[in-house]
Amino acid sequence: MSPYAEAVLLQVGINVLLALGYWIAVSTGKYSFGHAAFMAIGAYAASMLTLNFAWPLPVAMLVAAVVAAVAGAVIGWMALRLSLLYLAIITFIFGQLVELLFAQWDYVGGATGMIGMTGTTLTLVYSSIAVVVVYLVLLTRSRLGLAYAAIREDERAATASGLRITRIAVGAFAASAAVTGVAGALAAHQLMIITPSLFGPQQALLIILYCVLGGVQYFWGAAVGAIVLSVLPIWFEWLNDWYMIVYGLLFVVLMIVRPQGLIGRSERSGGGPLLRRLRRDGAVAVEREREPVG
Amino acid sequence: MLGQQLFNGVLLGATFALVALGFNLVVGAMDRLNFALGETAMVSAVVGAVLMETGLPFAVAFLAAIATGGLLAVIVYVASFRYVSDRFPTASILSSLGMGLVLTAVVVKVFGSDQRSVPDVLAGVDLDLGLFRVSGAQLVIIVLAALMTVGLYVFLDRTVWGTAIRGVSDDPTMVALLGVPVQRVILLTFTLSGVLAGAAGLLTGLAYHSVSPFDGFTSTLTALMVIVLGGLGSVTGGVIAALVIGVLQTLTVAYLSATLRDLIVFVLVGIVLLVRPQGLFGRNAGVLERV
Amino acid sequence: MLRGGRAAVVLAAALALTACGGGGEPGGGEPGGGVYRIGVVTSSTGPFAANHTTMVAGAEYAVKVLNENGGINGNKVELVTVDGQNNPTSLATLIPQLATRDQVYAIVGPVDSAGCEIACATANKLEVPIVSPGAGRPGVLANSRPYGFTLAQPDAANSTAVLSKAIRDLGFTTAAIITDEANATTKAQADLFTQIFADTGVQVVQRATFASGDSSFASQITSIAAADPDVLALAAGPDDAGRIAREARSQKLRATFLGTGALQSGGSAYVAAGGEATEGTIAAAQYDPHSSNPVAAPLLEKAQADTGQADIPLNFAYAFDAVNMVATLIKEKNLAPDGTDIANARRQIQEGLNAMDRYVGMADVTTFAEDGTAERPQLRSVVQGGKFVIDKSAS
Repeated sequence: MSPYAEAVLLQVGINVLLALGYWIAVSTGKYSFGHAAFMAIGAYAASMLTLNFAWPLPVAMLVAAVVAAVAGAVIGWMALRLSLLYLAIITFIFGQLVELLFAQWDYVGGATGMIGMTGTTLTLVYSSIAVVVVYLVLLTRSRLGLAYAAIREDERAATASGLRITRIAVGAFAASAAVTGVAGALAAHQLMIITPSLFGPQQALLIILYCVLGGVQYFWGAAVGAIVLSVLPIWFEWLNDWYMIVYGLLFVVLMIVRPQGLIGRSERSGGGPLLRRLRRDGAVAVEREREPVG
Repeated sequence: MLGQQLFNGVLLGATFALVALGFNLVVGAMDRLNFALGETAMVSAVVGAVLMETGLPFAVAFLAAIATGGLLAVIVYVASFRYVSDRFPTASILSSLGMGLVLTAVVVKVFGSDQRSVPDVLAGVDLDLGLFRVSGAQLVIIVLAALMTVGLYVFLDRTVWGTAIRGVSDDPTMVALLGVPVQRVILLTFTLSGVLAGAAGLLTGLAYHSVSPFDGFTSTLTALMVIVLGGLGSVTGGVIAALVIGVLQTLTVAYLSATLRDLIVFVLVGIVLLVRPQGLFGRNAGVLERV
Repeated sequence: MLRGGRAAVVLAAALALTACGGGGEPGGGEPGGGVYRIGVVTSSTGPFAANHTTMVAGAEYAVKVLNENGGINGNKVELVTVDGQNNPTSLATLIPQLATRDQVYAIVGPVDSAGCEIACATANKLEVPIVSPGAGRPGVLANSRPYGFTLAQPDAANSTAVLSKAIRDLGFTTAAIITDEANATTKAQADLFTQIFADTGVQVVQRATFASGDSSFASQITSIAAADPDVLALAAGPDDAGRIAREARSQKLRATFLGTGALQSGGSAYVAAGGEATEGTIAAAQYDPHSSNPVAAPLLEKAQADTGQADIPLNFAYAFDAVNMVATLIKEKNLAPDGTDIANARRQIQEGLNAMDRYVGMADVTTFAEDGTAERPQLRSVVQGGKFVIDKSAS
């Protein structure tokens, strides 16, 4: 395989891993705006081990997963108490704190970052994806998956029906952060260089976009979103300085046509978008029902 | 020197307040966040700066900036809110983020990626008020920001349309039943928020002496911090929070370190969120439940 | 699993399309003459978009001149430009694309240090010579040797002697330093200034910091103005430095501004951002757009005439030289066109660049040091009449 095809497949694979990891958290209805921080934690943890202690990358990846999971558990515990906007802000602040911490920490190179990590292979990336996919298939068919959905649909009803939602949400965020941390470790050892600014708000936003563009209903939706967004810059490179304009407009159009993302059912209750809009205009927003977002 | 630093902080806060007010109006009316508002401010500032460079008086540039802001906000409303289903809470956020990208990219395409210098106004003026000095540009910033804030208060409080905006933000179902044209009120709200953002953009440009195409997202973020601190939907809370954040940032930079500037705001907002989720001056928890 | 199956098909199709996409066979030159491809890495968005545009123009101009003069041994030179969109991670796929799909002999760009770190390291791993026209952050090529090069000399090496002399000439005794703390390059600049002031016996009376991004600088300047230094050292990017200058003058600070070579190499950005406030600023410099070097002068004059620019920007000249260095080596070593034996050709170009001694081009004299950074002329520049002018009397 040519280095080019390999580079593309590595990048796509890492992004798919990021999307799948994010999906675990989102499946409980909680949107994090600081997932790049888990990526950073994984990337730095693994890089420290491989560079400074010459650990093999697969072992370092496991440690990265554990460290990221601990951080994820803390965020998951807070997530339960917060609405969509406030969780978004808290997780965003968390992301900024992590970025700042790494930028100030001289052991990991401060703002210059760490350099010289190698070892990410297609086998490592795609076997990580395989593990996560197996986990997700089992999850979506298990009672735990149902519990996630229950929390997403109505947190209070979930509590009332006896679910121990604190433990479930903490677990979901920890698992999500672990996968994201592994993706970070793989990304670091592919890029060879990491700096704190690589894991800033832009990266956090990109992870959300993978998931939301693909659709949050099924995990493969998130994966498709990641693939599409990873190859778009390659397909549309010829757009040059029109690229960002087209890219932005893509989201605008998509959110009008398919607000649920590329993959997923259009609405929970009857009627296509047009029918519903007619109905809504007719009633002049008297009926401003909305999806519970908790 | 402390006097001067406090004044610097108030000045910074005054520019934050305008974007935050614009942000807050939309939150009030629709319970949705317009993430393209920072870019709206940026484009307005660029338009204002370009006009000032051609030698037009500041007043004309300012009017053009607020007109640009209002117009862009309407475009953003149509593209990212009017036809986007509100059943998916992330849809309009993503869509307006997309509009923000488009606005930035268009400015880079038309005017280039460099920072654009914003000419000074009233360059000869330099008032020495004992405790602190005020330059011409600072005078313009503080006066216009105060005028627009007071104007907004009066508009919301004393006029029919202002009352309608407050009504829609309190209970859209009820005011719709009372015969208020909700869609038109929402459109007006967006226009107003754009006008405020446009003014904020050019005034911030004056304070910073320049405007960069990549400033937009930062402004949005600051505005978000301000309204969370002040309480969603609260106009008074927003103004006070903006001033608090402005002064806090200035004093941090002056007496601690610039690295801590944003951090201190984040920590403050984080603590407030966890301890008092409705913000310092939140009117009710109702908005929170919905956003 | 029906939906899952469909998703898998989409996934496979997308990957297949991308991995094979545009797999144009190398060396499809026109009949009769071969082609030498040179990669150019640009970024059409982000804070360095303007610098990249200038760089691309310089590289394109170099190729135009080369081909007008018969190319290399009758074979044409062709640029393949890829756009990183200011996203460092996308460089990790674009560089392999240039290396494999486009079979380039060498790569020019990107100009910014952050981009070069990843692009240069990736190119080095694939053993493709890469020359960044502008990356000057200390240690930027640490992971990119022996294939990575930069035409910019890092500040510490380039600016120390020039600035020390300027300080002694002008008899400054007190100084303030303002630093962008969120940036490795500017933090290194601040250390450099501290060292220079210590060596020249100048007392540092005030230090202020900022973090790049939104900042009014009012607070920092108020603190500095209270200390009233003779000189204010700007450890800041050119845009931020210009805004600092504006704020300083509006607060009636009288200090002379001092900058490293990075301030001048930012092109017009500093003066554009700072306007009149920047008049009299002293900065180290490594490039003279009106050089009197007998090789550089005619090249600069011809470029001025051909492009209609009164001053040829630094990135234009550096990119021009980078392309010509590669072309010269291809010619010298008589390398075959159309990607024939490309791995060997790339190695020879790399060895040639490393061995190159005093290459003279549009940007005067360049020699690559052991670490791949350039040794460049050390000049003093001063802002006069709205632009940096090389103070020839001082050097």
